[in-house]
Amino acid sequence: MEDNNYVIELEHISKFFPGIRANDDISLKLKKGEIHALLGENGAGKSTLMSVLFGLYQPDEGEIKINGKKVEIKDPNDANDLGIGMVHQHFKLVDVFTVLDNIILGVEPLYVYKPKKINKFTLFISKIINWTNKHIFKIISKKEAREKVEYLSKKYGLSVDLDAKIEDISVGMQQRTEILKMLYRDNDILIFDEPTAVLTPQEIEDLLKIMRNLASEGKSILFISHKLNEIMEISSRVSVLRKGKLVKTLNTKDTSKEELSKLMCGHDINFSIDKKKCEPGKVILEVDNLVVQDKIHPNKNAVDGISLKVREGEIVCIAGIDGNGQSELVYGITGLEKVKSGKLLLKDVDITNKSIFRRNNLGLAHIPEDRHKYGAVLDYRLDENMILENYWKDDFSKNFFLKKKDIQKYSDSLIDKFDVRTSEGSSTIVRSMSGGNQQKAIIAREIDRNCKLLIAVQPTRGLDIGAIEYIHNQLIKQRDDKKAILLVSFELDEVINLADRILVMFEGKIVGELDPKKTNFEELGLYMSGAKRDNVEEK
Amino acid sequence: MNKIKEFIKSKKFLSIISSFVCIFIGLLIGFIVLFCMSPSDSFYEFSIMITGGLTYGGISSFSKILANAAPLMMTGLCVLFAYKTGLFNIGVAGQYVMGSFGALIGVLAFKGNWLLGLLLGVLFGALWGAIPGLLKTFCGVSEVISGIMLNWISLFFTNYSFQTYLSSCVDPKVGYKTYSVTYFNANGKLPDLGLSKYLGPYFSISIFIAILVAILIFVILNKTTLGYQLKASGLNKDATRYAGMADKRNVIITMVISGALAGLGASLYYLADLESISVQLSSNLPSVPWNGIVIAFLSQLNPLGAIFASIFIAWISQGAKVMTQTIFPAEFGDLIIGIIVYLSGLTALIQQIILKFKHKKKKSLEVKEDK
Repeated sequence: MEDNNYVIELEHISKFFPGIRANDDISLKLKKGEIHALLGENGAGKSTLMSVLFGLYQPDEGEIKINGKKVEIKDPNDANDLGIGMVHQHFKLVDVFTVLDNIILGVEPLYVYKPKKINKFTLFISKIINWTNKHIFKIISKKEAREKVEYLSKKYGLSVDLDAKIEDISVGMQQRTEILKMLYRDNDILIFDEPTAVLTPQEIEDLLKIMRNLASEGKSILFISHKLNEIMEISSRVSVLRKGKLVKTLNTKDTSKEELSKLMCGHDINFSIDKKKCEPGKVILEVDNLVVQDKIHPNKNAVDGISLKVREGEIVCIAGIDGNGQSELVYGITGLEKVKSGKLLLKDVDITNKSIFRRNNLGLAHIPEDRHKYGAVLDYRLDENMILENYWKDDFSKNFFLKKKDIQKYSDSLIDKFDVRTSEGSSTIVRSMSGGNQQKAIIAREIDRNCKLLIAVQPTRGLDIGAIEYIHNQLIKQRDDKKAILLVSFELDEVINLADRILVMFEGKIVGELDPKKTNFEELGLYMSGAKRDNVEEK
Repeated sequence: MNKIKEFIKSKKFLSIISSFVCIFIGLLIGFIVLFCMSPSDSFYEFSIMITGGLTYGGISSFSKILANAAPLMMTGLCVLFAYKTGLFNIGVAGQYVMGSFGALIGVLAFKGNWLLGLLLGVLFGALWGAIPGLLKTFCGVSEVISGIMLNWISLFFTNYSFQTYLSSCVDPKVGYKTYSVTYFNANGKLPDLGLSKYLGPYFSISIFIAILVAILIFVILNKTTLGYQLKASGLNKDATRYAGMADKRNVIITMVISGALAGLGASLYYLADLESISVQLSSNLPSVPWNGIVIAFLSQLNPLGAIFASIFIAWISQGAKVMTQTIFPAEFGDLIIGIIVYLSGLTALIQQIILKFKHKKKKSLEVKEDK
């Protein structure tokens, strides 16, 4: 009989992608009327698991039971029929439609003719009218839909303006629209994918209230987050995922933030690096109260007043969970995005409004986060990519003509020095190279530009252990050569191993400065998930 | 020998082959249509079209093909050059019309020689090309939208000009509908180096200019830092921004060069005195620039390929005009060209099919060897 209490049972779910086990034998049960939190770092497998439940992926192993019955969810429509609804992190709304139109989109109610007097004739007429409307004209009647939505919004305290266009309303209201969309479809199982990531603190409070309301009305909620405060506040149970595996499911009231943080981050260090003591010298990069606007949600600042300094001979590492403004901080420093306010000094030169070309030549090297978007021209040859920033210098061109032979020679020397493996040497098309070797080529190029400041964002993402170790050693070597290095990483192992100083970013702010020798995963986890914060002022 | 073998295995060879396959299929479909229209005449007429009317006009006919190919080549390069940078220059027609305006006022209004006409044609084309470039960089307007609008503006601007304040440079005796450049200004015609005695009246240096420019564009794209930047921004705009290249400036430069090529094409067309001109009162854009788009894609975006593609297109349309018009209209050439354009969009697919075919052959050879 106990089984009947569960609305969802995921049993031994596994999902494999080439090279990774995204989900590995995960079993998860959701009780009726509970708020169940799903906690985990980036890449822990939360999103994959939810995609399996929502029908976006098919599990390779395991089965799903809804209300005790085994089901197969082939696509989101199946999920919807089973009463599963999802609020995605990035809303799926039509910007130029009104709130009401967005809610009924896909399940538009048709006009139904109801005769005032009922006799045989009027019934016959109404049958004809309704049949033709259902099959031919498909005229929509929003009246009943409006009544239903108004009823729902009153019942759950979801205040929205039904006639406003999505592009004109706040992010919070957009989210409430998404929730109403699920409720309108009579979904009983609601999945929230990091719902608070885009909200302001006040909006978060409102949302949590709404979620509590929904749960008390008998809806079951799966809540994905890595913010420990919210999880502690709202959930009744919490499941922790790490590296595709379910670590533990706990009752929230029996656990603590510290324990969850420890479970989330784990404590196994895969490798460690010997390095000399750090001897920081002059300040190379100075960031003063930098503000960068959020591109998707302009009401928020992705980087919200950050000040930091990077000195020569040190690796400053920005730790944090993805999406807390690290990318925007780097784009702001490198010039790929405009800064809203604040000041940037590179070697005492104000570069706040300088072009990227100027910044590059003042001594800024950048290993970008997205190597396919920014790092390389994939359809160019390797040697052409090796001179991407320096093509105009005398070494590689003369009177507007490229010195192809010199370029090839230079590229050959880099391939040799940095052990880039290719099929055809310098003439290999970069697209045909493996990801690790593309990354090595980019790193070779940036390091060999011999700049004072090296900004590396996720330099080892998606690489194998050998390549990771190699890149780490290169970065340490650069540090020992008196370069200033700003490293952004989501991998805690990398952060603790490489950094001389750790700055933790949370919601666009630096919330903690830590010494890698003295800190541990637990403490880092607390800072990263916003459970702990200091006032960090750079001296 | 080894070099030839390597070339046959290379991708370049594959793309050349696939272009030929496109042309072959296009001709085949054309022939089938001809056959359906009139089976008894089709073989004879088709052979006339294929030989490009050489059998009728001899060498003079061939020089007419070359004279027609030169402007086509320029408009082809115009589209190709912009496309390499990631811009779709559909404004080629407008730049072409402005080029013709420049060339004509050079020789008709200013009574200059052909060189002045050529220069003014290039200048007006370049200026007209700069407008969509500027609009794109400073206002974010798509070059396709502004290009299409500028096409019509240029056409009616030219019409208006020759009907009003420039009408005096057109002799009223001839009427203002059609006229030839040589009738008004003999210096305006492109020089023939004294060869027209042997090569027919249509021969001029236009084809040499065109080929030289094609080679020049090839060199710019493949050997210079400018070409390096432009191609990079065509392939990956974000990477060029990351590398600190001046992407805005590059868009404008590209459009100026592209427009200049279209203007040069128009000058080569009108100053070669190919036929009587009717710039005025025409409410249609000329077809040469549109065929430029065809040439750009048929040449597989290779400037040297554009030389051959344009000669081929000129050849086919010339041949179609020589067919017995009562049975097969001259538009037939356009039909075949149209089919080839569609097919050239499928060159990637054709390359895949060829590769598969090769693999099968290899496998069957390996099986044989095993036995």
